[in-house]
Amino acid sequence: MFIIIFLILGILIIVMQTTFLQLLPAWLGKPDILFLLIIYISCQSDILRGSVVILMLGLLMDVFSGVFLGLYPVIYLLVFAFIKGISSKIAINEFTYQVPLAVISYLFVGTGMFLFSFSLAPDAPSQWSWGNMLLQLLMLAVIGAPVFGIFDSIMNFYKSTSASGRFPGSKRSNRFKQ
Amino acid sequence: MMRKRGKRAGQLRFFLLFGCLLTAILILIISMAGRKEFTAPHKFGLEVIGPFQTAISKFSNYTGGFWEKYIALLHVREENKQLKQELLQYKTANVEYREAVATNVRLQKLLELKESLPPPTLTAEIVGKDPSLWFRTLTINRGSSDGVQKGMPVVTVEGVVGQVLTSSPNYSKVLLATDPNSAIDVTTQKTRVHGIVKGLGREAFGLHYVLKSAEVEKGDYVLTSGFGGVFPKGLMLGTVSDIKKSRRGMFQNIEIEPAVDFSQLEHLIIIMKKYSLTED
Repeated sequence: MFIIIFLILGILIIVMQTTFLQLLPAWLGKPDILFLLIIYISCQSDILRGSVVILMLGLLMDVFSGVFLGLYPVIYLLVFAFIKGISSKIAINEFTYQVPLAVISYLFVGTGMFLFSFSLAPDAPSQWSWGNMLLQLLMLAVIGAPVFGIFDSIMNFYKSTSASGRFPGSKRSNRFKQ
Repeated sequence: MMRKRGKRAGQLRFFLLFGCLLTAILILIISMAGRKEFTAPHKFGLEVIGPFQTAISKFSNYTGGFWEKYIALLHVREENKQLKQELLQYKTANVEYREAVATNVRLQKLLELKESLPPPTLTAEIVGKDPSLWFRTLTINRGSSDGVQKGMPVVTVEGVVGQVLTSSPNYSKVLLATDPNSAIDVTTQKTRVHGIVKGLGREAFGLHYVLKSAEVEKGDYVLTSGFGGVFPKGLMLGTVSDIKKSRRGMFQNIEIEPAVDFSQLEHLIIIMKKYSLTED
């Protein structure tokens, strides 16, 4: 259920980013809401379900963006691994940590994208633009809190439905019984 | 007897007085008849009644006017609302009309271009744009079921847009000419200098592999050469906007301003043949 809900949410965000959000003026930048979702899933989900959703969203992003297939799944899974790695030491599940985490991660992802595309096509390197990058980081910082708030409410909805909506026949095994 | 005589004399005096008064009034009426100007009694009457009349008239006018205005205001409000609605409808219709005219002009130009290009060509609409900072691609509503294949050139009335990168049965991904991974063989119109145009990842191209000894002018048109085997010869790419000759290296650094406004793209034409027009 978690996978389906967040996959559908991811698809909706991708559709919005490739269509509606493209109408925003260039000086405003293009808010990368999908990246915020990746961060949110990385912070809130367990390794198995989180990695499945992130892999699928990365594959979908490959369809709508970029030239090299496989670039997005690799980058997103690296972000996921990075966040899971530091989550054992820092309480990044806290709402207040997620926005700066998203901003810093986006900077790393940008660098990763640049290096990957440079290594895949050295004769056609992507242009690094600090202006666009800073605009994007600022945009993420501004929209981060409300977007994470929306994701939180969706997560709460998921938790409430998964807690109350179990099928009567599907009994869970007794985890205390060994 | 004395009493009866006294009573009769009183009656006589009354009748006499009444007769005199009546006669005086009659004389007054007769004397006034035919006149146009007020006499003193008229004036007096008017002066006495006038102020009352004025006051009542003012009051009635005020109340009557207030009522009338209130009713009228209600009507005006209704009318204003209705007019605003009508205005909105007309504005919407006007916008639709303008949009239809603009679309018509655009499609007409596209049709002209389509007729000038060798058949078969296919029109396509953009359904999505690349959201990333790093790549420049588009998704269009034509795919392999329409005969679209990898490498097919995509153009507009203004010039070259890019080429098909991948396609599914109903949709295709187009690599824009502004993407750093795009490379197109070109020639300058005036000086006939050959080079390779690559995207710079923004709304500009770079013209590569032009020797320092070659003459390139600012403002010169850059057209497809037809040598790459992908784009037909003579399609517009842009104009030379900047030329730099650094001390080191063999080649010039030339920047090209695209002929196509990539932010305003709507309808595209896919040239179904992959080879040059010169081969036809």
